[in-house]
Amino acid sequence: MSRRGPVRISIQNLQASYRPRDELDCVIRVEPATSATVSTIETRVQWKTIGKGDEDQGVCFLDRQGLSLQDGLTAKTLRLNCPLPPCPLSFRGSLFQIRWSVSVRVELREDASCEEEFPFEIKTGCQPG
Amino acid sequence: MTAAAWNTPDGGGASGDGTEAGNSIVEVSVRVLIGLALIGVGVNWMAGSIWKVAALGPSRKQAPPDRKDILLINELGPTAHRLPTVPPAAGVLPGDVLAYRLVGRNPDWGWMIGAAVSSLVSVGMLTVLGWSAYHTYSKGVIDGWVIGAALCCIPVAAWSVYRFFVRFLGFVAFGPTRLEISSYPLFPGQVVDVFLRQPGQIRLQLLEVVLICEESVTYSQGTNIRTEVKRVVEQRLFRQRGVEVAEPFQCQFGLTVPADAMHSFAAENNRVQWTIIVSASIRGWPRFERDFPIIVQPLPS
Repeated sequence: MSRRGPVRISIQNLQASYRPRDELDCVIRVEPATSATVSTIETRVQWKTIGKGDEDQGVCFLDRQGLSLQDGLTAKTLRLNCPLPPCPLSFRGSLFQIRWSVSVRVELREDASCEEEFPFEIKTGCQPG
Repeated sequence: MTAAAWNTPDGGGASGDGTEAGNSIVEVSVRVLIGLALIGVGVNWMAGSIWKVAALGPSRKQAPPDRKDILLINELGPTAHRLPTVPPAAGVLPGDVLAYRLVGRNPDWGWMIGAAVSSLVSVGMLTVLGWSAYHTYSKGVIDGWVIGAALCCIPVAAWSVYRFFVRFLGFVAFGPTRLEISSYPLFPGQVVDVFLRQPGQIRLQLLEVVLICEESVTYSQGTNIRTEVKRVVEQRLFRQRGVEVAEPFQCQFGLTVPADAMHSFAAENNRVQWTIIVSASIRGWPRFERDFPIIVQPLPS
C-alpha cells in the first residue's frame, strides 16, 4: 500500500511467490484525495532487469482504463486476473536481477501522475496458493 | 618526371628512366601494400566487431519483442510450449553414441584466416622493401628509410608467420571435437551423460571439459557500449593428463545441472548463457578451446 501525493494505491491478495503459469489474482484499490480526479489507471504485470546492464523489461499483462469525470472522483477497485508466463523466473545474479512486479500507474486530470510497484517472485518449487 | 624521361630518345635517358621507373614501382608497391595492410587491420577489426555483435545476436532476437507481442502471447492463453526470453533449444544434431550431438562454436577458422591475411601482407611488405633496399644498394645508394622500414618489418612478419603456422598446425593436429549428450534441452537438477570424441595427431598435456554459466550485461557508458561477462558457475566434468588422440580419444562422463541453476536467459542487454567448454593444453602451443552452448530451460511446473 502506498500514499504518494494525491492518490493512495493499495493491493490485496498479492502473494510473495508464484509458480510459473500460476494465476495471478489480486485486487487493486485506487483512492484519490478530495482535490484529485483520476483520469486513467494503467495496470501492468511485468518483469524488468536491475543491475549493471541497461534495463530490459517485458510486460505480460497490460490494462488501461479511462475514467469519466465523475468516476475519477471516487475510489476505484480493480480486479487483476492474469496467467503468469512460464519464464523468466525471478533471479538474483551477480551482475543483474530479474524482478517481477505489478505496476499501477495513475494519471490525474490535474496533469499529474503517480506510479507504484508491488513486487513478487516467480520461482519453481514454491508452495502453491 | 617519368613521362618526360620516356620522351628522351638517348640511351642514357633510357637507363635513367629504368631506375626511376623501378623506384616508382617500388614506391607504388609499398604504398599499395601499406594501404592494404591498413585496410586489412580495419577489416580485421570490423570483422571482430561484427563477430561480437553476431555472438550477441540470439539475445537480441530473443529479447521480449515489445509489449504488444507479449500481451498477444498471454492473451492467447495456451502458452505451454512458449518460453519467452529462453533461447530455443536449437543447434543440435542426431548423435551416434548418445541421442544428441551438440554443435560447437569454432573460432579457429576466423583466427586462421586473420593470421593468414596478416602474415601474407607483412611478408609481402617485407619482400618489397627488401627488394627495394637491395636494388638501391646495388646501385650504390643506401636508402636509410627503406632499410629501416624493412628491418622493422622483419619481426612483424616473423611473428605473423609464426602465429599462422601455430594456428594452422594446431588446427590440423587437434581435430574436430565431437560432443554428444543423452538429453536436450537441459533442466536444473538434471543428470545426463556426455560423450566426448577427440581425434587428432598429437599428445595432449591436458584435456578438460567444464560446464560454465556466464552472466553478461551490456551497458552504455558515454558514447560507448560495453559488455561485462562474469562466470558464475564452473563445474569440471572431465579432466585427464597425457591424452593420446592419434586413435580418436573417446570417453563418457556425467553432467549434473545445478539444482538451483538459473535457466538460460537472453534479453537485449542482459543474458545468462550455459556452455560446455572442451579445452586442451599442448606443450609449446596455445591453449585450444571449443565451446558448445547449451540451453537450460526452467523446470516445467
